[in-house]
Amino acid sequence: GAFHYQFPPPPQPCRPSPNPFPIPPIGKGAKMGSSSKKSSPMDLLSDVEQTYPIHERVQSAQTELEKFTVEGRTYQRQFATMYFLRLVDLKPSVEAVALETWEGTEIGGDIVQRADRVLEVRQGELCWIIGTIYMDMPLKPNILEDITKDQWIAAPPPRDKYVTPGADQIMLEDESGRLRLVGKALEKECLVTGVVVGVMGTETKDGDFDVVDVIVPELPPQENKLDIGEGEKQRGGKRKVALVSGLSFKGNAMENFETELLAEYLLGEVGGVDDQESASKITRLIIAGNSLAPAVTLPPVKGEEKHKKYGYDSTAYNANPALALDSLLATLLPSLPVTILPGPTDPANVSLPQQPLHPAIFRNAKHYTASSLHTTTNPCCIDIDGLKFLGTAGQNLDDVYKYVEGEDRLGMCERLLRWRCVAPTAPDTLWSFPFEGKDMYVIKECPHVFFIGNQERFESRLVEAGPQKQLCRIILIPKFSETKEAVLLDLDTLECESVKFGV
Amino acid sequence: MDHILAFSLASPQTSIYPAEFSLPPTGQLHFPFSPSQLQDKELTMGDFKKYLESSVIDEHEIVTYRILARRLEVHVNVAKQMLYEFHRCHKKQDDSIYATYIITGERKEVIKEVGDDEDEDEDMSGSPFEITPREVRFRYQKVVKLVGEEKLEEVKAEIENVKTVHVYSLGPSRIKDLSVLSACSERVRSEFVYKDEQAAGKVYGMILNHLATKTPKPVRPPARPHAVAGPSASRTNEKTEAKEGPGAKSKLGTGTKVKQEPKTKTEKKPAPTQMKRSQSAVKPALKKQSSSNLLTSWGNAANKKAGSNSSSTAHSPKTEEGLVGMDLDSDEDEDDLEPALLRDAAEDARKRREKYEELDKMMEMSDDEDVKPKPRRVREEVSEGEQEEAEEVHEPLEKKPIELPTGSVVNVVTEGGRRRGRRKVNKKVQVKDEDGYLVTKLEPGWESFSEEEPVPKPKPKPKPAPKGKKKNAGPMTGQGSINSYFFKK
Repeated sequence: GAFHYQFPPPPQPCRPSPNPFPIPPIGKGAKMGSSSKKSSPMDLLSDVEQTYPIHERVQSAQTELEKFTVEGRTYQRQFATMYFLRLVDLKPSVEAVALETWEGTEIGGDIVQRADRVLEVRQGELCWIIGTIYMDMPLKPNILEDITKDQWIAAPPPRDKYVTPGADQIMLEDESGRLRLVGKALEKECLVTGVVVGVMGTETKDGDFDVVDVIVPELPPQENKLDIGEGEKQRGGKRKVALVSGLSFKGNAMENFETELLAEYLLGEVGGVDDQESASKITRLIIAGNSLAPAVTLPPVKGEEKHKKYGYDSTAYNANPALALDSLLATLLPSLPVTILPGPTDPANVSLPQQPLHPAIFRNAKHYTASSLHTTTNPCCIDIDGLKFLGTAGQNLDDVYKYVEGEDRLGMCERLLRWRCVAPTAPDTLWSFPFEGKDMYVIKECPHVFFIGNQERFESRLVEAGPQKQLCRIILIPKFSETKEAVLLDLDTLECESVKFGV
Repeated sequence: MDHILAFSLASPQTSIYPAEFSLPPTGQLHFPFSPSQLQDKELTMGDFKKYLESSVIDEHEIVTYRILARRLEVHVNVAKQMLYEFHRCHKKQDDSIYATYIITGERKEVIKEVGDDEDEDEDMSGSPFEITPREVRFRYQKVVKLVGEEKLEEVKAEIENVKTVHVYSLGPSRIKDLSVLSACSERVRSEFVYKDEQAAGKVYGMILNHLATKTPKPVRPPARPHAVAGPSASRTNEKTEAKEGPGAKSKLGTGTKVKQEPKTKTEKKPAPTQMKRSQSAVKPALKKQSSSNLLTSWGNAANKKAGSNSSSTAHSPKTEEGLVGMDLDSDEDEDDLEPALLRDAAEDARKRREKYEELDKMMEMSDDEDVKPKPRRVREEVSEGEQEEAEEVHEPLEKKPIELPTGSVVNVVTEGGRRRGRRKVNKKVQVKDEDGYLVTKLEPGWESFSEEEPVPKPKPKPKPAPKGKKKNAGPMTGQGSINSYFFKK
């Protein structure tokens, strides 16, 4: 049943009125428990003097670690160098873990040796090597097949997964060569292309490498380890961050009303005094991609093809989605700092890392770019009040999902952390920009929060692993347009919960 | 941006309310606020009721607590109370008022384990929940729900911990699809635009954030003459004057001339000195500017001409360029409030337009050439004496109905190493004969050329495109010589 709040008698005499209900003693600083506004009485004569507490939003400082901005995009480079750079980056850490785990291991009388290069593996010898995984899957999109098929058949619908158990092959590659891996130990690792691993085993007479054990880089070292305490004292509830993704504005007249409720909730208008007070603890909002719904362009009717200037028909452009997003931001920005990431359906470049959304899209909201509005790259690496946030809009996890069997996205996300790579499948099946000096997807420092947007469900896990007992909260943010859920993360306790809006 | 929308409340609103409580008109910037001002308002029980009566019952509008709070400049929680009170009172009399409620609370939900049937060596370390497999676990899901009044009790029962229930909106009749309330939010956004959001938020109860500052719109430099739409009336009049047929022209010319005179006279009179100054300064710049801007502004001018040409009532063919241009113009108009500047700009624009039209005539293989002096003269008469200097400069250029030989070049200007201008070439025109034969004729025509420096600038490229379209309505041009693409040493 609902709560009923008994109002104590008013502190000051009020003007006589036929009102049967006493007046609630609402004033600055007065406590107001959960009350039902419906039964709270009204006498506006004294309401005028009485003011509801005006909340100030708790502030948090955000700095962006500029890792993913790309200057001067040239695609003249080879993409394969990315794998090499990744290997060079991660080899030392894998080595360290391998030495620790396998040094002196003996299997069947053989002491395991280190083989420096893939080609140095000898048959019958127990050894371990480090290399990059390559998944050879017949169902993976293959550009050569696409071109030939283009001529004859309509394109098949995009597949959910590329996995064909049995037909897939796992290879290990390094600078020198490639080796096929077999073995039961591989199955539970759920490897994908681009992961740097160390494998121990021996070569069979077929030339395959029979794997006995696999190690991965594990969680990277973490600076500024957070001390979240074990709940003896209620340390939470002071600073929060709201995360949402997949707003998918279409610009229709009857847009999702839940977005309006979300805005009102964040502004502190909806709800009672309690709700408003807890909303004031939300220091910022992170929109993790897909704020605009993908544009639906109808194919032109034969014979009516409009004149195309610069290759597209500009009269077919519909500005409504961008205007709708802009009006939502303009509503929120005076009160709430917003960080917005581009997503796969947003007007940003297709290949990762996606660059920040251009302020020209935000007609009104762009006035706040100096203060509240932050446009970041995707993936993004930001520091909020000392906590390191690493997040993407979901493309990386969705791609990894296609490589492995099962639905456990949370596990896949955790594995991304353990592999120390945000997007291991780039540039294989995930379009990416060819990096030059170093692979930007390598996670050098363990984040405190790792969020992935545009997922099916809200899921979250606190990962505590590694030699330093690094803590990381993994959050899978659901698509707001489908689930109507937004996520609230507490900065002090790393707890998170979701708020569902309904009509 | 100031949106002053016409609010749909009936105009007698001002008479309903007692004098003490003055309802601020929509969109008026009423800030800064102070609590004392609130007290001065002396809200009485009746006032908000009257407002709600007029809105909900008389006007059949849906009023949400947000609209009410902003309209009456009270805290949103007070607005919620007002709505509730009004609904309660009117429930007895009039059953049709429909209320929607917001319920916030926590709902108990069963946690569906994802990997229940999967392999048991899932790494569950660090999971926040206590795990005992196969046990049904609960969690509390925070919800914020909007419900119509008939479903209120039902939904309340579903939610275990109800935190708050309050009125969201009142409407004249039952709402089937609650998404129509998004129209109310739209109203809030468009009607209540404040310059100082923080001060406004303080009144109606937004969570304040003083670090959120709006960078003001950058002050634009005074609008370039060819881009100003400003006193378009006078200009369009002149343009229509020039464009229409000769016969009608003279009549129209005189007619509009009379109209023009007082207008332009009033325009010009207040600042003759400024004119003089600007003119002398502008003149040499103008010449260069005009010719150099020939290509850049040709598109705009042509568009504008086309716009005014197709009668003042019809809509000009709204090309993207045109639209963007209009937007820019309106923006610039708002900023550029100095009447003197506008007048100067109008002056320059007028002169430039005259020149364009003259050249336009030269391009067309029409017999309008001898008519040209007439509108020129008409315009000259219209202008004041101060204009005559400028006119004289232009006159030799304008009074040129003679045929230029092929190969002659007009309006050459060298800018940044590039020679640009217009030259007369022989164009091949293909015409279908009576017998059905395709005949190619060589006819003189004008084309623009631009000899580029080593690094070709991409900018002039789109300009020749619309220009080309405008001029060559017919078949494609034959280029004069390919050498124009190679820059001369």
